[in-house]
Amino acid sequence: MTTPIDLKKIERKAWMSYFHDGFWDIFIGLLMLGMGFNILFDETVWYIVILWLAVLVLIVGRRLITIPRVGRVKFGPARKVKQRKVMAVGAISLLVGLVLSFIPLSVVDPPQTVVAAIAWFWIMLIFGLVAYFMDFKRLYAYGLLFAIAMALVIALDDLIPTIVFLISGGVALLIGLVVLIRFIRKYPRTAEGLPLEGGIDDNP
Amino acid sequence: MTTREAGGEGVKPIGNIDRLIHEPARLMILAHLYVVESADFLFLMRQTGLTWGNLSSHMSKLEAAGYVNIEKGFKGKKPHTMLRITDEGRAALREYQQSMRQVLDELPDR
Repeated sequence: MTTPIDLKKIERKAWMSYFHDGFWDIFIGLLMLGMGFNILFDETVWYIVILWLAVLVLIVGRRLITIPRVGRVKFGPARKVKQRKVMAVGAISLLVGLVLSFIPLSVVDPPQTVVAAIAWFWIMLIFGLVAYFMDFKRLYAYGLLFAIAMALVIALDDLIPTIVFLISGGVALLIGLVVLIRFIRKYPRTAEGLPLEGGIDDNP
Repeated sequence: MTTREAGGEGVKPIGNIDRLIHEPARLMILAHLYVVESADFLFLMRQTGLTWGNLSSHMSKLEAAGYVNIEKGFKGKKPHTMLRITDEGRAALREYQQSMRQVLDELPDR
């Protein structure tokens, strides 16, 4: 049995065109760079400043670049359910992280490698779930890099974790910029009312 | 001569196809509106690849048939139009898909 229209494919394509503009890659890249600088200079202010910059770039970029090029859309209930699942994953991971941070190490005292392995698994799980619900495949790779870097931070006490964070952040940032440039080229800004070139040639 | 007049039982499913939806551009428009809650003209233009004029023209036909709602409003001071498929539009698209499945399933083997 054939179906003339694949609605799931259409919805997914619509989501990806609206969502995959490079700004999430830039956001994650900046977060990882922030972590790297934080460890390198042992100053939390780096992470806070870069985190705010990442959030600003994401919000302002989507408002000034994405929406004027792709238009406005409110996705349907199925997509909203997925978005709520993403938020739930984020909230649960934050809660678990908070709870775990209050468990004194003198009570548990596992080896550093075990703690590193648990951190790696936990971060991979979070990134994996978010990637799945957001249909954002690159997030699996970013999650892997983030998890490896965090595990190394716990297991090692040298420059290697910092380098991993900085390189991973740089790579994600670069990918984000490339995706963004491609997005801007693919969707040139058009004033409302002006027809675009091309499209389906049809007679209504 | 319509398809209903031309044939008997075998062409009834073809005769039931909604011609308003069957037009490729309008089918694409309705399919895109079906999977979202609402969208503006620019979004639909990007997704369907239609020109502004084409999209406008098809939207007028779909609105006249009661398949879509065109909601005019403002974003700040700028006029802004959001498009939404109606319940009738959703039902019509589902029926269209059903009819097409029937037509394609009943194609004879060579």
